[in-house]
Amino acid sequence: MAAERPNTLLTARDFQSTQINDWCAGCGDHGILRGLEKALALLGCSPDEVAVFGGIGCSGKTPYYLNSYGVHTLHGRLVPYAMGAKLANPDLTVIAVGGDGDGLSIGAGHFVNAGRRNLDMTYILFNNGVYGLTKGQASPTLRQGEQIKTMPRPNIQANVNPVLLALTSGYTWVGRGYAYDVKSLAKLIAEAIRHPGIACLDVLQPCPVYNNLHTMEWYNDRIYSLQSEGQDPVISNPADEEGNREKRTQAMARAQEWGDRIPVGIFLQDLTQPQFLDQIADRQPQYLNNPPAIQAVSDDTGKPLREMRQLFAELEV
Amino acid sequence: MNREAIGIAYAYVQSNFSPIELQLRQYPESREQVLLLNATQSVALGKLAAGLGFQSYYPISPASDESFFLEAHERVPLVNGEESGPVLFQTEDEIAAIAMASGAALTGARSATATSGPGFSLMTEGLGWAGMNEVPLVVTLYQRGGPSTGMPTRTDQGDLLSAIHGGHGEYPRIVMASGDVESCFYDAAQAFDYAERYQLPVIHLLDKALTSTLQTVPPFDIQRLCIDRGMRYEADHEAKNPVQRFALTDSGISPRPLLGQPGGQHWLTGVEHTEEGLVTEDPVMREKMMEKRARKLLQAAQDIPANEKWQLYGDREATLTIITWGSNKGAVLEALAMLEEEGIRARAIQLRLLWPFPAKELEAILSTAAPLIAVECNCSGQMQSLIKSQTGRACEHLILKYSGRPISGESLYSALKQIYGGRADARIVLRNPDE
Repeated sequence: MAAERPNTLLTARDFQSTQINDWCAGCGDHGILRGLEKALALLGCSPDEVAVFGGIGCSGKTPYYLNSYGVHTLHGRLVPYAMGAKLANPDLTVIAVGGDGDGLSIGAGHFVNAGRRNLDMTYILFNNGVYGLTKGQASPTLRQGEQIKTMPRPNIQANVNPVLLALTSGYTWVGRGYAYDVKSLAKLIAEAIRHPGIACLDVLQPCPVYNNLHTMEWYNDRIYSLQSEGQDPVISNPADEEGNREKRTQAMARAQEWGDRIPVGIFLQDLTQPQFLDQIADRQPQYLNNPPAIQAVSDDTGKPLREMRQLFAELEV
Repeated sequence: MNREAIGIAYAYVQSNFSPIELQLRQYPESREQVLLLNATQSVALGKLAAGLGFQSYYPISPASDESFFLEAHERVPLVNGEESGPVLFQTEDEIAAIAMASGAALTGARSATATSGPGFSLMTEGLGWAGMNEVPLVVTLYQRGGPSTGMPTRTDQGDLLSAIHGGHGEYPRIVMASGDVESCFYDAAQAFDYAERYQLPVIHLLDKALTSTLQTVPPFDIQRLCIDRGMRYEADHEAKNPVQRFALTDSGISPRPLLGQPGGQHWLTGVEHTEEGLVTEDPVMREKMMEKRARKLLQAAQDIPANEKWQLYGDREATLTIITWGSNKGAVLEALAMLEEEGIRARAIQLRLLWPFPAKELEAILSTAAPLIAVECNCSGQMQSLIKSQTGRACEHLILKYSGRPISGESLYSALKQIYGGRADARIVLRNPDE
């Protein structure tokens, strides 16, 4: 969780790298990138405490365009790379950015299992319904029967609902944003990063090159804000079992809305679950002060610093 | 029921057989401290002593015992009275295990994963990413019978070539193998030094036979370890930002910045890249980067002393030469002793470093070997084909076993006697249930 430092002098521009961006004009990725830069500035993060992990696909290039530690990983595997870094260095602000194909097809196992660990990091899912980099195949969020212009036949596979999947997988912060509403998106990203646990933000984004069904006009007519309709997503009192159950049920019901009305905003924020870093610290009291990333292992002459006699004694005969 | 069966068998033998004369020698009671352990515990202790900071794993036989042992010992006292310890993490699969271990390694933690057969197959894409991004990572590979699910609880040495070549594309890696329970400790520790010095994945090969070998060993001498963390990037010395993570150097090794290091922002990527870690398709840069990564292995081959590459046992001047690797060491030493008792001169080479292959250091000894006999637990003779491809020298005899059971000293001795007597085939298979 990045602490808010309102006096910081950093602006969104400070998180931009000088790399030439090769995303297509009008791609929703641009909006998400702008949102991310704004959110990091809003939170007062420093570029050298932020690590962004990308998968494979157009979205996977995001780390190159940010001034931070940027790690371009394997297709579908961004989350385990990101989690390994966070577990070894809990002081890092860790953000995983990956596409819908990356996270819900080849990386679906990691998507689900990430929800089982309330580790303080953020997963931003770039959701455009299409594999853009391989020129227009159906992604797992494209609905059954839909056919975008590059597909030779209509889709005969059903879709995965990322918000519903995140809710049932145990993510303790689940939201959805829209790539063309950068202002609201930046706030949502900041909320997701600020959440002291595992956050999943589904971001709807047009792909103007391949997805001729879910265009800006299509989304603009349908999107509405959950919070502006009064939805309170926060679960903070573990004793209120009935109220909490109701909030979870409501979040799942909203997650299934699609078609004429598509909700964006925060579906659920559960603050009652144990934090993963604390769970490790319960087992290893030194963990947060001396995490693996900074543990000294030898003295100046290369001699080990660990005292092994006690361990050897256990196996003595 | 078991007790009853023993009783019946005892009575049967007593009434049907004449007494057997057994001479049990009495050994003086040793006052020396010894440890009783198997290879998974020895490896785990070596990793802990070397400063293991992170290990991820997915449950698989026979590798999981090591991670479980580590998890039970995740709080280790330090010499100054404080404590440290590795984070042990059970992942959703082996793909996540190698990815997570790599992510942890990028922050500066000494990081590892441990697996067996099918798990290693799943890890190969991640291994390539570690090779491409020059990640110091230790993969402990406990071989078991393959292919596919194979014989999960039986021993085999069928993963040698897959450890050396597994994955797509070409990238440097170090492959080493332990021959006994005691050396597992020192090898596991040194694997991290190799990994951090050359910034590449190190595969530490073991086999199921070693994990089921419970034996006493002298207490480990941790003063023998000399920890090397490799070349690190220091923010003060260079003004360039972002850091050139993949700076081209003579040795191929670039100063390594860590994720979270102040002023150390850099890019990492599995795509071919520039010195800054940015995507490139430039043919000249591609060549430079392929050569840079390859140079690290040449450097390792040059730096690593011969005694870390292989060991020689038996009569140094003998010409009858056995060459082997992994857990066969025990049977080979036993067979050597039996030959020696009969006055048959023989020597044995145990390979520890399999990749980069120590071709240069073996040249002299292989040229005086007559015959050269390869001993290994697989069906195709992977080590002997490696020797041939790397040195041009073919083995005259190949003694193989692939029944899932380890080679015994007696059966190896008989095979060697046949060879000595000049009546052996080029390929000898030690079969069960003959032994």
